[in-house]
Amino acid sequence: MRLLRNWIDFLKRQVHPPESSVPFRVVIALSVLIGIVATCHQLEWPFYGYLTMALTPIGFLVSYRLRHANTWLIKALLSVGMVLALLQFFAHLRTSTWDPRLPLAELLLWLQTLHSFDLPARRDLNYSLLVGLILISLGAVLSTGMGFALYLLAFGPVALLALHYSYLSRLGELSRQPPAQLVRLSEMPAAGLRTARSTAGLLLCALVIFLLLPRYEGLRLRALPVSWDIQFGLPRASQGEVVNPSYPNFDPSRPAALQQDNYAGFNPVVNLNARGVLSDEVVMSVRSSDWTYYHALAFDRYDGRTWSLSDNELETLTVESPPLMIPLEGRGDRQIVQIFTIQRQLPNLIFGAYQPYQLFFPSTEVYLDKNTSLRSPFPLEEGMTYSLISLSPRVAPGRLKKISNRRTPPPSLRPFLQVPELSARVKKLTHELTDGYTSDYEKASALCLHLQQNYRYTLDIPPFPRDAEMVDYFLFEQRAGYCEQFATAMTVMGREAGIPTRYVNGYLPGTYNPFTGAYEVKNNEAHAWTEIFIRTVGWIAFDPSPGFVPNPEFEQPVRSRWLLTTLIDYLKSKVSPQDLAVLQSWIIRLQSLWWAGAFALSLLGLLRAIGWASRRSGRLGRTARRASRALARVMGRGPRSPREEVIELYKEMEELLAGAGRNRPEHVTPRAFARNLSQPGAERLTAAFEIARYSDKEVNEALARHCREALDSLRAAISDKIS
Amino acid sequence: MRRFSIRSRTDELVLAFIAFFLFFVATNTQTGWLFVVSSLIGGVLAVSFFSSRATLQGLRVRALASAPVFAGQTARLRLEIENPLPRTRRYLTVSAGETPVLIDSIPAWGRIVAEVEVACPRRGAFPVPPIRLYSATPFGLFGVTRVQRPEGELLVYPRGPRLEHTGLMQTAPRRAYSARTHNRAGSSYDLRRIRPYEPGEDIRAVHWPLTARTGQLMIREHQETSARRLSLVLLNGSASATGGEPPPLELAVEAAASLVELGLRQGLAVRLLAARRGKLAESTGSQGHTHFELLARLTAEALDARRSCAWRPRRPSLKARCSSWRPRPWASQAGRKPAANAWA
Repeated sequence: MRLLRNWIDFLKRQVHPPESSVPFRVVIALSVLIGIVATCHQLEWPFYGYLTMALTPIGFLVSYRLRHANTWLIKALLSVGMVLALLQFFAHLRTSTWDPRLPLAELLLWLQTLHSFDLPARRDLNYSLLVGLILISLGAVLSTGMGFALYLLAFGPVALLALHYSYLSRLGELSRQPPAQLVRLSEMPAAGLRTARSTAGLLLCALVIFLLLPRYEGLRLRALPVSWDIQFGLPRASQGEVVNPSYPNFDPSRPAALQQDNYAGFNPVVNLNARGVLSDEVVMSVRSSDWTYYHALAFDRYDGRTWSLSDNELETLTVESPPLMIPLEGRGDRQIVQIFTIQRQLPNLIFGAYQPYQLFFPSTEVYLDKNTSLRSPFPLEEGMTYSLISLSPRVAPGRLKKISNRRTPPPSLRPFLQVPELSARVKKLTHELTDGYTSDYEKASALCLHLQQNYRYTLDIPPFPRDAEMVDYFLFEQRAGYCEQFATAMTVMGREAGIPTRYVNGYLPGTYNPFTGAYEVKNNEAHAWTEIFIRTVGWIAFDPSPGFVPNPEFEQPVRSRWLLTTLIDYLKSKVSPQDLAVLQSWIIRLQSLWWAGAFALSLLGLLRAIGWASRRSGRLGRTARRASRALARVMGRGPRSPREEVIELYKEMEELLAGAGRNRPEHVTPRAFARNLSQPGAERLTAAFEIARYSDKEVNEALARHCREALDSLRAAISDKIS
Repeated sequence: MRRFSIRSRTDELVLAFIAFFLFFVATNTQTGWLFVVSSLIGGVLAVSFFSSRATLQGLRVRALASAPVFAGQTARLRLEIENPLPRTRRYLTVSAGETPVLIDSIPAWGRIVAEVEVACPRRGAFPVPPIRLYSATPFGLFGVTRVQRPEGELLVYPRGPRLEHTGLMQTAPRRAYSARTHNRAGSSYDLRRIRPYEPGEDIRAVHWPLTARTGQLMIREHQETSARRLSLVLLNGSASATGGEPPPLELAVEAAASLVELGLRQGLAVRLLAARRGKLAESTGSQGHTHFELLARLTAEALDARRSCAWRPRRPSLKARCSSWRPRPWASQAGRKPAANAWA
């Protein structure tokens, strides 16, 4: 009972004065609402999101109305509500242990909504702003696209205005005199405009910081898989067979005409005679802890013209709730966490780094083929998100070089050694390249290096002749091709050298987007490469295509620690080569002007310095001063203040009069001198000069303007007299 | 500049912590937008750091003449703040220790006049206190304080207890008798009122008929109609002038202020004499400011200064004479001690 009484006494205490500023409350409410909407958008608009969006403005209104009242009862009810929200959070956390972000987001939304009913003082409103910032950060974590920039663009200025108002409120409290902008809603645009100026500087600072932020490759802590929109119950479209929506009537016996919107290799059979160019659109974005190729299908049977699977038997993996565990076939030393967001419809192939281990996928069952490729019961639809944790072998190349294969491979690897009848020159070339090495890794490296260095990569090749064996024709006749030809050649040559190899296709890692932190994978980044089997290690990827990383497992391109280079790479990927060439030519042209500009600026600076020195010393005479003034006019700066300008104008008048033979003797005061001149303009200017030079009265722009007019009239009078 | 303390920089530390935390999370999860949010917070901190300093950069404070106040009152100090740079300064406060005054804006190359309050607990002529300019424009972060010490003086008059009646002032009736008795020319006395007798007053002024009628001692209070003066001599010297709480000199000055105030209220021509900087300082006239200013500026005179004085005051004390004739110039009578019965 005593505890309860103490608690009620605690709630009744009003420590801080109530905040009565309507504009301040409005901007805080806006910032909080933007945070809520951003989070709800990323959470796919849950029901409680709508509820919080509706209740928050009501809460702000209620807390404004009751800001002077002792609302201990409301506080007590809110405390109870918050405890309930916390209990609900723990309950949700228990059921969805793989992703605590969803219950955390829900908790934060409820806390903010409840808190909005009790915001009497500035401090409470500041807390709300902080929660708004946390909500927007949570939205940023959940976001996978560039669309989130809109929320940031909306939240940023509103939050800055809220900070500004908070400062004004503090000043008003300190000085017991609230600023007008804090009191009147009509002053909001002016405050917004003023804050916008600061925002411009802020954005510049933020950009510099953003570019200078070091980008470490993560701390190797396990990233949280994304699984909030796992929607079980999508219509089943396959029993495990490959379904490619762009090739609905796929006939393995006939060469497929390559469709622009989807890679023809994502089919049960890869026809090496398919030609065409794929579109440039982004098909998926991948947030990945490592730079990896995305494995789709692996093929073992080669008949000279196509790749296919020797064994189409599938294993069905079922699970009640994520994650789905996949049996490993090799070493798994390095954990790779990848979150895929599908941007456009793709075949029912589950892409991911080799070798998959845990899958968070919106299906209770998936299919696993003999080559560890995963297939979904339905095509990957736009907006779908799934996560994959892979375990990749991590063995130093030096150690791989020491591992040699058994002379007799195990039966399970025999399909990967199968080759059709090869021409003698292919065999000869293969043995010339590999006979000097003992380990499979070295042999494969030699083949890969030879292919990369001696053949040309191009998409523009004619179809192979009907009677030609493709590897032979590619290696000795055509000597050019694209990834399929290179991967086929290496796979076949590897088998000829006694290495178990397989032909793999999938996607390249894509371009890292520094804003979203995800790799954007384009449709035309569909790729094919070779994997070799190394005893005790597993399958190791080799990419023999020229211009690509030969060994993606070990030679990952070092992503710059600094964002600037990453950003330039990203922008380069967005600009076509033609536009890039035009841009470069303009930069070269500007470079020649740069020196001229620097010279001109230096000259102007020098003249300005001489002018300043002459004003100070009074020795260099009027020429330098005039040059300085002209320079000041050119630079658009003018004299520093109206007071200084008036003094300058008087000196100019003295110089003018000296030029006309009327020097002021030292013993004559300016006023007496002006009186003797009998020129109204000179007298006016002298009077202004006396004010500017000898009094504390304010010298405004109007007085300076009058002085300029007076000097002009005097100049006109003198020139008339001379003429 | 304000010293750094965690308490005074809580907001900045919280924001910096959030920025660092988001950077940490972004690094761990490779969430690019968190890098953006973290950078934006960093931008806010950077802009705030420089902007608040730029707001106060180059501002010049000048103290304008301010009206003197009495001790215990709050002076309103007028300050002129000049902005010598071509950019408007917004949202700063200026204070002299008391409640800060909000300044909405100072135009480019412009000046504004602000009035700040200064608590004046003691009398004296003080230099203008340090003026604190504070700004955390525009976001309330990294607030910075610049202290300026403009030239100028703040005069605080002494204030003693308000006197209504005192026996000192009732020397007039005795003088009136004396004047009548001795038939001195140049002064006359009118009956002002009859009021109850107060201890210490001249028994000869008792209005006996009324006393008999009322059974209470009643006394005639006369009003000097011409040439009444109050002469005060304040002996402000000795090594013990600063001893005790409050110091004897302060007590003497407060008493003098009370008498001056009463004398002026009663229409007397007040003359005040005291030692100042080794010389005799004098204030005369019916305007209180001259007397109060002299009292405000009085300090305990040093020994060498006292040697140059006409008399050698031993400890601060107040000698007052209310007379109808011009007192003798004490300063010209070197070494002569005033008659004991001349002081009240």
